[in-house]
Amino acid sequence: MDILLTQTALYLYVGALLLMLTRSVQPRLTRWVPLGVLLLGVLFQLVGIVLRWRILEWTPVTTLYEVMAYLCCGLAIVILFTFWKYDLPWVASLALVLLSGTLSYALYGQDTNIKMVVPALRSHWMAIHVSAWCFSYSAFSLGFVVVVALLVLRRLDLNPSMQERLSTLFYKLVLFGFPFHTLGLITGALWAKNAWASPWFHDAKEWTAAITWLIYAIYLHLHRKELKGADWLGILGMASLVFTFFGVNYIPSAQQSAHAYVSPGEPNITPLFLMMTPFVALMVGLWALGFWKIGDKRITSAI
Amino acid sequence: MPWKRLLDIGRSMTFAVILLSILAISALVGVMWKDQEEAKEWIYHAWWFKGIFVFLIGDLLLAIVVHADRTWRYAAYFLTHGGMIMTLIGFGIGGKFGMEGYLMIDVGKHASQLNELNLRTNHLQPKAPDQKLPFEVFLERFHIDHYPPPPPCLVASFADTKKEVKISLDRGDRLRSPDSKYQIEVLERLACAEQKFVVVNRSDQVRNPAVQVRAGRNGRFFLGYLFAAFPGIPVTQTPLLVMDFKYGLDEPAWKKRIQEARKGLEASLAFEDENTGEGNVLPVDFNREQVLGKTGYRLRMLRAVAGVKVDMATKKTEELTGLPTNPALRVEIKASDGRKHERYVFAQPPPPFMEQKLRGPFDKLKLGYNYAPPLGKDFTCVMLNSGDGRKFSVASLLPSGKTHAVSFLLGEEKQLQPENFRIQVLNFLPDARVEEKIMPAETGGRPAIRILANGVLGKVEKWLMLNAERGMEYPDHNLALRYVQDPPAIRQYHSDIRFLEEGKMGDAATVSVNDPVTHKKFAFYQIDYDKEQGQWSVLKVVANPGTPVLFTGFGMLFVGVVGMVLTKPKPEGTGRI
Repeated sequence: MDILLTQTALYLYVGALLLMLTRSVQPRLTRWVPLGVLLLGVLFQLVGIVLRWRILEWTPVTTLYEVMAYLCCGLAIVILFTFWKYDLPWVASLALVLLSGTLSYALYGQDTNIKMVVPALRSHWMAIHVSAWCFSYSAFSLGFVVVVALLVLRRLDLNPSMQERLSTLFYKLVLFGFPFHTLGLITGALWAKNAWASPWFHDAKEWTAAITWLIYAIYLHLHRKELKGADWLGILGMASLVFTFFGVNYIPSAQQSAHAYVSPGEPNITPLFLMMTPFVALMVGLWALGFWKIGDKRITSAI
Repeated sequence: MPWKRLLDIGRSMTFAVILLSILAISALVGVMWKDQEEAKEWIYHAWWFKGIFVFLIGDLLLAIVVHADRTWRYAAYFLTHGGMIMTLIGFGIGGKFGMEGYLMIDVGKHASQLNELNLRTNHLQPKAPDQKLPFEVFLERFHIDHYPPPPPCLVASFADTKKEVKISLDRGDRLRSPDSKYQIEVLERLACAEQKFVVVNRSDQVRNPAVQVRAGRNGRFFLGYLFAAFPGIPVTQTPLLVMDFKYGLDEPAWKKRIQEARKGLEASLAFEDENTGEGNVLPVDFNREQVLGKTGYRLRMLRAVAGVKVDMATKKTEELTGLPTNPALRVEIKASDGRKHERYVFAQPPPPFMEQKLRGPFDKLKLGYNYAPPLGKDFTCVMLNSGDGRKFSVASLLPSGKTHAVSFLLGEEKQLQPENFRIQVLNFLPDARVEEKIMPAETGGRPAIRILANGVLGKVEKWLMLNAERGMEYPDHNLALRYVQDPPAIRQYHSDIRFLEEGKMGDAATVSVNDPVTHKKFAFYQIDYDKEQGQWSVLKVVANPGTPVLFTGFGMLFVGVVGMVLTKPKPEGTGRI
């Protein structure tokens, strides 16, 4: 039943994406329609999570599917609140592509069966730890979408006021995500101390999470200096984030990691590439446009 | 002044950013290092890496001092940067003055000697003799809590996508495969069923002839089937006796006969290669490698076992001794390209020849183990002969290699060599097959379901026994179904311990995963246990004086970061944060 609800949420997210795309070319469509559909999706997903919680009798974040679904719910909430305040249909559409892609990968690329909670995960730190990551990942992921749009505009040398708006939004998203990321690191250490006797193992996953924290900490410091180049750290931060979540499983040291969801066999990272394709294509495509100086001013009005 | 210049550099944000960047890059190198033990040696525990933290602490201290102010913003700034310092110092104290080790204790015994874990070998090795706890830890009991067992489900394997999907049976009796290509219907469920193999006749055409016989001597008889044919093999060379093992025989006699079978006296191994069509029967011989005709395969028989049991939960194979419930040969097969494969060749089920297909370079090779229970010293087995012109006879195979054959009429008792051996052919089956039957059982059985799979090639019906190794394969060779119940998952591990001080039993405590126990300054964590018999447990012991500092640092850092978000920064250029 919970899977059905999550699938419905996915269809609603895709619906919200299509409506948001429509709005970006047809401004007469009010943004409350796509946002209303998105809100409905969030409600469906929340009910799905609560149902699974009741079946499992534990926070449903014990499998890769559950963690990704939980993360998507957080991302949907952050998208909803952000674009409630900021009317940026193109950026919202990109964010909804990321959300729908990730949830599709979770639903159709992962094992959705309920697994009993293993002893190492039976800690109350887990719910706080994963929830903290959920909001930090959501904010940083959305920040990545915003920073892509910002860097494209900057490259095309268009709409300085919009650039300013996007830059502020990115800063606010990092500011929102950073305390959650800090909490995620701290609760992770406290949990590790309780379960494995040591708060830090120099494990690959621990260090990549710390590297992500360092990247955003550097960004927050550089932002004080008003360095425009600092926005590039949004791309680097997202790369580090994705690497922490997926990439660590496929590096040589993963076999020695206590965190990796590693199973023997060849890694399947194709869906990940598919998910990132729209962003990479957008960056490369518009970069090329900027290179030949054929940017159209109308693009920015849509963004 | 140079020191003033150095101080300016040290307290600058640029220096902090450079330090954080160096830290991130160094850690990334460590992450990518293949051997994490080497990464610890060359990076994380190296002097230069620790040096970065020393500089960072200095830089953070200077930043706190330089920006001292009486505002909420500064309070948050102080907590953030002070929290970082406390965290790093807490880790430093733990690393310098902390102690850790592993206690490996057998149930009912005590230990105080600490061990260390070699991550490369994943084995514990004792630390220096003086690395002991000032008290003994006695392990009273190790126990595991399980979840209730999950309900049985259907496991569908798809050859095209190489995926395996569990289908819950709670959804009703009409199910769909996830790709919607197949409909599966549960026709019947049995809570307790047993699996039997029965010989049936399929047609009147002579394809795979067999006879049902009653045979024996000196008042001891058996009832069973003699099969004549094995495809591609001259029938006279395939002596095989299928019989009810329990009939008329007592256990000591079986044990003795199994010993004889191990010597290779009464068994043979048949092979057939689908590529070349080559097939033959080999005597059981454990002393040499045998060539399988012109197939290119070579085979070595390693040992004969009376019974083999496969634990479906662990997939481990256990060799049983005693009653020959499932006789098998352990063989090693070598392909022409040198690749080797070791496996069991089972005599049953189902007799006479279970096609046991192998993978990779061996997938066209069929093997069958003719386990012929001996009938006595003076002859090895009886067999069904089909000579030229489809004239059948029953025969006994004598130790000399000669056979004594007699023609038969249904129901007529015949005399066979050696003396006093009488055989009565009860039935003749021209096209005999061994079929599996699932029947209700009162005790000792397993659940079973009868399912109907419907796809593009029509409907297929089959009984599936719970956790049976062989399931159902749909004729398109894409879908395979098994009826499976996973073993109950582990909920928690517990070690019930007592602390022994000067020979006296002290406090009792239970150490569980995520629920450590502290005694004096030592904390005990449940880390590992004897997975086979639960006879020992491994506890990690830690004494870390840096923990209070570390936790204070964590608290300050989090409160500080939240405070930094909630307070507004001063404009850039004012010299304020």
